[in-house]
Amino acid sequence: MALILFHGGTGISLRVISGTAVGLGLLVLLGVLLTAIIVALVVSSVFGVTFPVALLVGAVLAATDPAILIPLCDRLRLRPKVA
Amino acid sequence: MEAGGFTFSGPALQFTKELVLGALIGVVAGAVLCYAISSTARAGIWDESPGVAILAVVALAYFSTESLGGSSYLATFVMGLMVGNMEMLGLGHHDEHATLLEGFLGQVAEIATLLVFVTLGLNLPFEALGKYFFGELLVMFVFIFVDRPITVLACLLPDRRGRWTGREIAFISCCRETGVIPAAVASLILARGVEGAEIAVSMVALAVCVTLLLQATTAGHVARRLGLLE
Repeated sequence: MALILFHGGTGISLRVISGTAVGLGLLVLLGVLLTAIIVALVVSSVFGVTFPVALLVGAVLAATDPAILIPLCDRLRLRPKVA
Repeated sequence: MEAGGFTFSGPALQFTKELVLGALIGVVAGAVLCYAISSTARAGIWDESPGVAILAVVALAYFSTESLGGSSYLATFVMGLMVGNMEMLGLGHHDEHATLLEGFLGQVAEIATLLVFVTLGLNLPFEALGKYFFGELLVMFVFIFVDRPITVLACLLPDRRGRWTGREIAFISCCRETGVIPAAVASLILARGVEGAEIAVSMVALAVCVTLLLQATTAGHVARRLGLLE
């Protein structure tokens, strides 16, 4: 995992992401929190578990996967801003 | 904030400590690595074999951060970010060395990715998957079609400077693969016997299958239709 993340880091241009820093910052902080809470609300009502337990499930699911996304974006040749 | 016996302050403090420590070690180790592998007169003691330097420094930083209680993943990511942008530190590579480095890292990352997914496949909990299947499908539907668009809109619309277009927002909403990080965390809490871990593990297993089949396989087509390819 460490080498996958290192490789992912080398492919990111700070010049490209500096223009979208606010959106990206919100996605990785507020986005993860929102995802965890929304998933937790559904999990608690579907499985009948307490909210803290449901929030744990939401938090586990909230992370995206660099092992898939980084090679995928490389292969697709997406515009740098979206990749 | 408190809910029953559960408090947020302890985990939040621990989380902050891990982030700060990981980022700090990543910056220091990243700077050392940049100086070691750059091809300039004042630096670059390892510039002809950057692969060896990277493996050595990444391993050292990873295990040091881990033993100090920081986020070792964040540290290695920050190191990669610094190496990829070393021209901002006034350092650079000869073209042949940059090509060598890119080829080496690409191959190592590809092998690591393959191993991760083989491991993930071997550990899929089929029993738990069957037990919670229909409830999980409902959660998955909300996760992909409701949660992700809401989250992306809430995070990207306030970013006026980023000038996000509707097509870019649509693509980011469609592209949200689940994989190795959630799988690793779910396996960890299952091994510790945490309440709800069985649901988390089976949810992650389903999310990996669904997002890979539904989103990863169609991402290229969606990006082409939205005109987001170079």
